[in-house]
Amino acid sequence: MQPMPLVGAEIQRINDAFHRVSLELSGVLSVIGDLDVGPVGTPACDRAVAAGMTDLRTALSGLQQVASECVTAVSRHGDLSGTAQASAGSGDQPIALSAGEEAL
Amino acid sequence: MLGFDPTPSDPQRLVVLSDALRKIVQALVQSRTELSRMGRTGSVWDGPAGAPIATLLRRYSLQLSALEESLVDCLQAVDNWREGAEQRQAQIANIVAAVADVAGDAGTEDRRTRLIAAARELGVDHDRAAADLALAFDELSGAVEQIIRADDDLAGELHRALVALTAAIDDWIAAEAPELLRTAIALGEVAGLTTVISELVGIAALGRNPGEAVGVSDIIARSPGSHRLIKALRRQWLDVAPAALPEATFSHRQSGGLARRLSDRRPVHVEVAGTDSAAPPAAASGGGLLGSGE
Amino acid sequence: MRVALQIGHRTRAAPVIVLDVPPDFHQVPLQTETETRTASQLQLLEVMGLSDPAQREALSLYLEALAVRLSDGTVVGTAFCAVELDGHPSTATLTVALHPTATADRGLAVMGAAEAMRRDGRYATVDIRELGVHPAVTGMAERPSVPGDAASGEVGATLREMSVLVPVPGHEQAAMLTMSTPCLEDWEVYETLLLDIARSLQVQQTHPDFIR
Repeated sequence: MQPMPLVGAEIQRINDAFHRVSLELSGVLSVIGDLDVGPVGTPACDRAVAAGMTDLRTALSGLQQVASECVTAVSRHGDLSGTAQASAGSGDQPIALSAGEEAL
Repeated sequence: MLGFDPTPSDPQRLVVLSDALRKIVQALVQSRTELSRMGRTGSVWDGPAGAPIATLLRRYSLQLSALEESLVDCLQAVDNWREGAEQRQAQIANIVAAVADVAGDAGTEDRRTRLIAAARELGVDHDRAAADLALAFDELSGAVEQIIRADDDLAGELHRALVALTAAIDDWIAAEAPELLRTAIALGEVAGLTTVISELVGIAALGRNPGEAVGVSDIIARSPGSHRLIKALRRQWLDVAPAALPEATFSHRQSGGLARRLSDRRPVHVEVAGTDSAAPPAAASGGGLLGSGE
Repeated sequence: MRVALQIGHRTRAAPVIVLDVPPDFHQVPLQTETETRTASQLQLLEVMGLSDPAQREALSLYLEALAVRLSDGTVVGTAFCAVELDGHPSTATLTVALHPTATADRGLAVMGAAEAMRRDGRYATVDIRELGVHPAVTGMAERPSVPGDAASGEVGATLREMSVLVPVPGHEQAAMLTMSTPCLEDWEVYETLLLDIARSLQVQQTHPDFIR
């Protein structure tokens, strides 16, 4: 199987996307970590809010972990596909690799 | 003064909670948008080979989306709760002031009782509103439970899908690349040969020596007037170029607006020798341009 | 005016690809019927406004020879423009082929073609792009117009060309379009134009000649 830099670059875009997702989720996890969810209303709703925020933290943490695992998994595939230089562009923005880059 | 707090709430904490929820929603929207863009129509993942990858991206994106929807409901509930609680607390403050006014006055017991009853009534409203807030967060917990229950090996599946895709591409290249490259080369050759027309018209100087270019010599060899064609190609036509060339209609340099720019739309049609077509493949019938007036 | 790039037998059932091409481009007549082709060639000579008899004869001979040469190839159409661009004469060639891809999977065809074109080495750059709703591959090359020039010591004009492969939605086919020009100073315009043309690709289920 020969290296596939162009396909690798497309795959790298998935990697980049999951990497950004992972960073975003890490950011909000620290927001939740700093949050002091004390009493905000009646005891019943305080319990629901506290439980909901705890569950939210668990979900975000799980999603962040999945995103990180995807980054690792796609990176493994990046190796399989050769050197992948991704351009962050979309739409008409090409992901270009010159013919000579394969040798690098 | 009342002896109880009918509208417990901490507006400052609610502002902090609301801000935090808003930030989380924004992060989820950002993340979801990024992933959704990957599998859209026109992307390389938009097809059977890329479909498993697009499906996995969508699955993850839907999880983010489900969380986002619940959080938007929570955010709405928190904001509603805060607004309502502040109004009720203001009303309670008025009641407390009124109770303070009548404190110690004889014969105001009835008024005091009515004021306390009104405060209790506000407390009931407050509890009802609190139930809405609790419900939104209970539903958030429910959404989280579903996400956690999914517990899939998304990363592993993604890896396997990418391996399969790479293998499919390899197979495609092995079977199709030689013919594709032949077509690409043919296109380049024909483009080069057609450019000779510009030379004959007198607007391009290609520095051509007849016989040296394989394609052109082949063209000349097939021409019934080959000797005249050779003579013609040796001649420099630039001095007899058309005096006035039409100005290009496509000279605007913005991309993507061709259809809008074309005052005289001139669609070019190519018949597809596809699976649902009875037409034979291109090479079998010989290619050709056909102009048809309309 | 509607112009058809025809392959195969024209039937009511045969779907067609529609591309928006500016009216500046003159198609090289490639019809198989001699009379129709000759009439188109004469029409083209008139459109070009050539007055020099020798020049008209040379172009006529060349058009006919080119039609014969292309009669058995996979290239289904070729057209050129001779225009004034930013105050100077400019020319380019648009060539179209329809290539079987053996798959209706556009992503697979694009990724496979991109890697195949890259490995081939004749393109300076190969890109994967999204052109509107079409995934596509572009390859750019620059080469002397006359391959044998090195032997004579003369360097011919350089042709810059870009090829775009756009899989046809729902069909195991790809349109391959090549824009080629010796007017390198106008390259940006022609490159944009080619991408616009590729972006405009549509499939019509009924041949336009049957639309009434």
